[in-house]
Amino acid sequence: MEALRGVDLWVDKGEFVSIMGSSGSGKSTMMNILGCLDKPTSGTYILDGIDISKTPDKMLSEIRNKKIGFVFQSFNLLPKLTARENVELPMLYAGKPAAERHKKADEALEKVGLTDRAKHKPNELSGGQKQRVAIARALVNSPSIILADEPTGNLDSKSTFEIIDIFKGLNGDGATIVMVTHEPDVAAHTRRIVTFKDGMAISDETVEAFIERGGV
Amino acid sequence: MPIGENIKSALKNVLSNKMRTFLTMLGIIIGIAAVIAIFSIGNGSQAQIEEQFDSLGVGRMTVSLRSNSSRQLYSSNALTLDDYELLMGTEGIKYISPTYSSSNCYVKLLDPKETNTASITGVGVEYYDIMSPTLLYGSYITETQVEEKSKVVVITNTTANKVFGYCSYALIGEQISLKSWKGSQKYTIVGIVNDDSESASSQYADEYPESIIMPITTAQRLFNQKWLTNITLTAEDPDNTDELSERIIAILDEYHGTSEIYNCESTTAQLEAMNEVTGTVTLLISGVAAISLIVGGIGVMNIMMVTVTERTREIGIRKSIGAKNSDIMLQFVVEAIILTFMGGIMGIIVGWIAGMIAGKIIGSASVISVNSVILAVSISAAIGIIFGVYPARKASLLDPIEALRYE
Repeated sequence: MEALRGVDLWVDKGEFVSIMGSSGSGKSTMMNILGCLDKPTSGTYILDGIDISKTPDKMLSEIRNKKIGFVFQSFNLLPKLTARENVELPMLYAGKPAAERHKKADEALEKVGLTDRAKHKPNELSGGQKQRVAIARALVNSPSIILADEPTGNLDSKSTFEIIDIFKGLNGDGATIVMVTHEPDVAAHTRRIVTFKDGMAISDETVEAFIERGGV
Repeated sequence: MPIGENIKSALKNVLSNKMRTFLTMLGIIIGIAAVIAIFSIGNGSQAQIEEQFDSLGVGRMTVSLRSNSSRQLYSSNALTLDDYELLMGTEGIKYISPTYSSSNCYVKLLDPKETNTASITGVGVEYYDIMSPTLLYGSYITETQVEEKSKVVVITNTTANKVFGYCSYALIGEQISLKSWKGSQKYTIVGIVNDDSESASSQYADEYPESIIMPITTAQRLFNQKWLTNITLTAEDPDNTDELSERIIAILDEYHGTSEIYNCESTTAQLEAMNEVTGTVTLLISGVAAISLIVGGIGVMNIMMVTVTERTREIGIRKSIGAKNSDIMLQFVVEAIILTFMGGIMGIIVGWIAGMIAGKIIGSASVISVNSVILAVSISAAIGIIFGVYPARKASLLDPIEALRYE
């Protein structure tokens, strides 16, 4: 069974794209391929000029480390580490020295407004705060693209808008963001919306067209 | 990922569940403790046994009458100088000497009122080659002295100091009085040997009898006896004393028309038996240690498998943010090594205490050597690697997508 069929998608640097679709539409597989966790059986995926479909598996971890920042629905923080240690983790795998790790982690936490929570462990943080730590972790290695998989799925509406604001801010600073969501009002905050159905991209439109069509 | 960070995070994980960690380490602790205890006691007793081996000499044998049969049952001709002469040319014997020992004699000490027991040993000329003592001054018993029943003695430096207050070349030719039931007689000192017996260094050295050597014939005349205490000899081939022993007994039995009255055994035989017992015990404890270490290792492997399953999601997260397979592998191997290494350290402490207690009970020295500690630490680390690799490899090969989905 093919999860994706003939998808043709081009994302420019600095874009903020939503991927929408019901479950089973193939959007998760799309995210796994974009995140270099999976490879397409056929076709090509070019990230930042590198043909990922032809890159050996061994090098994918390095690409994930340097070029991709993940934000997950369930935060996926390591429970035994503090917020700052969680943010430092990608830099540890990149082999950065301790001083640089601390400095950059503090900067990233400041960007998401969590400086005062740096020494807290995930179970001492609210859902919104956890997701902000996850975002700090995603952006700390200055990736080419941030991939967010239902980042607001587990959050209340107040936290949801905090997170969307952070993403908007990051995008404003030049970050490229692709976000999977099934909530139209969240998608409406992005600038371009791609809708998946049965493994195919059935629409690819600007947010204005999306709203006009009555998507929200 | 830097190894320092790896160790830090592994320590954190291992210490976060202390009870489980301790139970996992138990097998390793027992195994390593057994290794350390064996070594600390073994080193002590081995040294003692070897020292005794050295002092008894290699390939040295003694021919005597069986001790479980009363001497009176045999004629006084059962073991005499004739038997010594009979055995002299026997193939396989390197040196041979008749001996007659008795402590039924006293020697006058420096203080005129004092005497001490003298242990007299009458010997043949080859006794020197058999015992190979260190001759300090003068010479040993000669053939002529044996033939002429000369009243000469060889004493030790300990005796010299006690009788004369000093020990030097000047004592050669001096006389020493020996008192037996026949009365006091004077003997000329012809040689002084170094006292290398254990008693020489003992704090009770004064209470040991003086050891005095004289020609066999002189000794027999002094005690008015024809027979020998035993015949001491050295085998040419120290590894083949059993065959020589049988041959010697056969010769004596044939000559006397007797059976089962002679005993001829290597002086090291008893020690060998003792060494064998020690060896068996060591082997037994080593077996326990080996089994315990293997079982402990399997325990570590089992817990690492559980840990990998429990932390599947963590592995997925780490992979998604850029951990290589080798990073994950190293992380879990390091954790397994830390488990076994900590077990090893605790085992060393337990084994050290056990060795000290056991040493006190059996009365032998217990020394914990650097080598045994290095061995124990290496064994425990090796177990960590051997039993940690499989679970770690399993962890490293997890598919990140599956791992992230794991609840």
